[in-house]
Amino acid sequence: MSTTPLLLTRADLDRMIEILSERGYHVVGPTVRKQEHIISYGEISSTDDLPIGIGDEQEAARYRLVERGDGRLFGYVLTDTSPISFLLPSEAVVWSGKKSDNGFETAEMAAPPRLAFIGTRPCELAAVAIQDKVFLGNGHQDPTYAQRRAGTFFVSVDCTEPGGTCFCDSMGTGPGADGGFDIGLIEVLEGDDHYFVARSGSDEGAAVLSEVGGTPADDGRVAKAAAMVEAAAGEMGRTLDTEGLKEILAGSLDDPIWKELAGKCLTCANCTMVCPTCFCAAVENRTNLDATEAERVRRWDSCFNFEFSYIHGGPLRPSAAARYRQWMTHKLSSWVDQFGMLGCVGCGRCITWCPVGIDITANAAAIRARMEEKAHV
Amino acid sequence: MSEDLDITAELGRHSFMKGVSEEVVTRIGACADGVASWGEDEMIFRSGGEATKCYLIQSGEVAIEVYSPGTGSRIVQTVSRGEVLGWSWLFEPYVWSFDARVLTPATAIVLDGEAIRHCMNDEPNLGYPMMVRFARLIVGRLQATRLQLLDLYASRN
Amino acid sequence: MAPVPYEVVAKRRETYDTITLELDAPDGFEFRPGQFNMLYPFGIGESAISISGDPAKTDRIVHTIRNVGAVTAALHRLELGDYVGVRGPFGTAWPMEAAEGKDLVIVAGGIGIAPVRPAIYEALNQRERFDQFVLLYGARTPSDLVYQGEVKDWRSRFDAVVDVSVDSAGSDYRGSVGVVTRLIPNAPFDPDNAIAFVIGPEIMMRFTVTELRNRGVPRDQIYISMERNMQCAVGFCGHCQFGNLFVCHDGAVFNYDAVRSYLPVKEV
Repeated sequence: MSTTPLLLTRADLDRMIEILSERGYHVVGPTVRKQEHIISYGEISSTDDLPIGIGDEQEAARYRLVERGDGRLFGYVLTDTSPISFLLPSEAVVWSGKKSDNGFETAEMAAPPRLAFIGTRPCELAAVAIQDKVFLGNGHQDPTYAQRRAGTFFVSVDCTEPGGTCFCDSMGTGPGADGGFDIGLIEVLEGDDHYFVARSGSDEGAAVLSEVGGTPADDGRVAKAAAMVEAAAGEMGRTLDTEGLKEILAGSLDDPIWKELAGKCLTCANCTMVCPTCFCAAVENRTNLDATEAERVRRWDSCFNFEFSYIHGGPLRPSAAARYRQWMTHKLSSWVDQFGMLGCVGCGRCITWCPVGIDITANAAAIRARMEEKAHV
Repeated sequence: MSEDLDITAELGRHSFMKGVSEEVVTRIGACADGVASWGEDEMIFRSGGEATKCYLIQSGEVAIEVYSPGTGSRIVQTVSRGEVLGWSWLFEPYVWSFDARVLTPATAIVLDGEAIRHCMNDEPNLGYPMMVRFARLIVGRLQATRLQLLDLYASRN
Repeated sequence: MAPVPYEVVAKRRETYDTITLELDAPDGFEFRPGQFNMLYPFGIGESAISISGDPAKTDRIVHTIRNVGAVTAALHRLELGDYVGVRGPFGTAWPMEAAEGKDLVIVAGGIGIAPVRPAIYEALNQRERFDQFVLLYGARTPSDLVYQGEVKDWRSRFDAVVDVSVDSAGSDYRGSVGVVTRLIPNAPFDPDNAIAFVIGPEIMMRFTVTELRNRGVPRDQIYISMERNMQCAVGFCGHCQFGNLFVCHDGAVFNYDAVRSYLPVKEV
């Protein structure tokens, strides 16, 4: 699919958004939510809706929007939630039913509109690949996810300015995208020279790109863009050593260190709400007052919720330490057994959005140190 | 009690004696009174009674129970083939703590408590393997009791 | 994955808190012993319930249900002619083929007898496939014993060893009293050549496995059935995770070796 890279301008991007709309996509991209002071995915109709010249500072338990003083469209690090919150909505009706002579009848939900994401980060594409494995590639197919995923179109933007909580380089998911996009972009702004190096990653992407036009990119600009992405790999705010981590964590379940690490955890579930790979959901059954109509709703759930592990009589993980351990060992250990890959893409959202700044990279290092120390005793 | 049985052979077949040497079986056999049998609801011993015998159950089922005025008898445990009934003969003051009542007609090899005690005391080579068996029996009962206390099958709420 | 309605055609009271429901399956319903269904009393909620019927009888779906929560209470209220939604069957099965030509030892505690009853049916109907057949069944008190008539029939067979033990009983009870694990040391099977199916509360299973191991049964010849919060039954909702396992589709029946490292860990 990788033909000669094209050079696009902001006007070309506007054209791209138009073309995608014409093709029936609802176009979603990063937008500034003024009231909440965040950059979040939302529907966009032109590049005017993008966070032009707005950046974000991210650190443990810290998130601030800042004026960049330039005209970059994608000059921020990461939105609060990822495209997963569209593919796996926080609440979705799975089916609805009515009582009938033969018990009841159910109807599956109609397919939602197709979505095109502009500005998807490479770590987010990696998260989509993980969710594909969970919902489409593990024996059963999940209709809610499959319906939404089938028509998605991704315009990714590689990262050139990683944030304080980023560690995608450690996880091998960024800062550049290797695939998973329909159109891949790198944004470059040097003085007045503002351009996007674009390549297609799918037939649909190539078709859209050829409709957009643009000009063949010169080697100098392509090299410049690639160098910026390469340099970004060395500017990660965090690192996480994954070497042997799966086994280390699997062997740590009984260690008292979990109590320490989870000592300040509020079990608020923020980390799981912003995590692009968290997929746990509660199945709720709703009914009208006379119980003649009912629907099944799938709602985000979190392993940090008290009721999550409930079986008759009580929850199996009443302590915060056990819930934190479940979450972290799932991401970095048992996920590998379940899906053949790690369940963390290194986006750092869980660190940024944790109200008490619990840091998965620091904790992974602490457990590694602890288990190594134990091994040498 | 029937006298014409080869008590040593009977003893050697009982699973309580599994793994002990023939010599030990013979020595313990010398402490045996014989094989006894009981019919339904017969009492083998009663709580408070003098504990002089040890019973290696060969067949049938015996209830270890405790009677409490008002609430009646409650079966704490039953013992059956291959199991041992009674260890109060092992320790002073040699008094039974529970009642032993036959549920289904039972037979048992009856060992004389005092004789085994002397035997075990005088001959450590015999005393040790026998004591290990009694300890295992008691540990097994203790574990079973703990499990009963846990009330495994009760609703958790 | 919407539930399909099935009509209740039989309802039996097993004990004071447990009933058995039979659902009519005119188009046939096939399952393997040990699998479960998600049962949905319309509008109330869904609960994972093991299938407790005979796998050879595909015209009925049989479930034995203990009343422990809102959904199971609603299932208890169902009457003949009512409908209940069914999704399934889900999960792994008792490995009947692994026990072929060997001694089959089943140890069930409490309501755990229900999920293993299909295996009992299959084994007793095809008795020649197995060497010894041993069923050890424990419950809290005599009034907690389910399938009493059937258990009596099984006990009367000459080709099956069936022992029942309750944790405590009044003096009029004529059966064994004591935890079910104490039946293991003297049960007639060859440990090297036995396959054991163990099901019941988790602690009961752990102590049962200990006794089986004491007898010399190799770890990988022991299977246990786990219980966790199951909502979707297909590995999507995440609730039933047990270490690196999804109990709903990696289990509920597991080889003991697969789960043994997690069993002693608190709050896994």
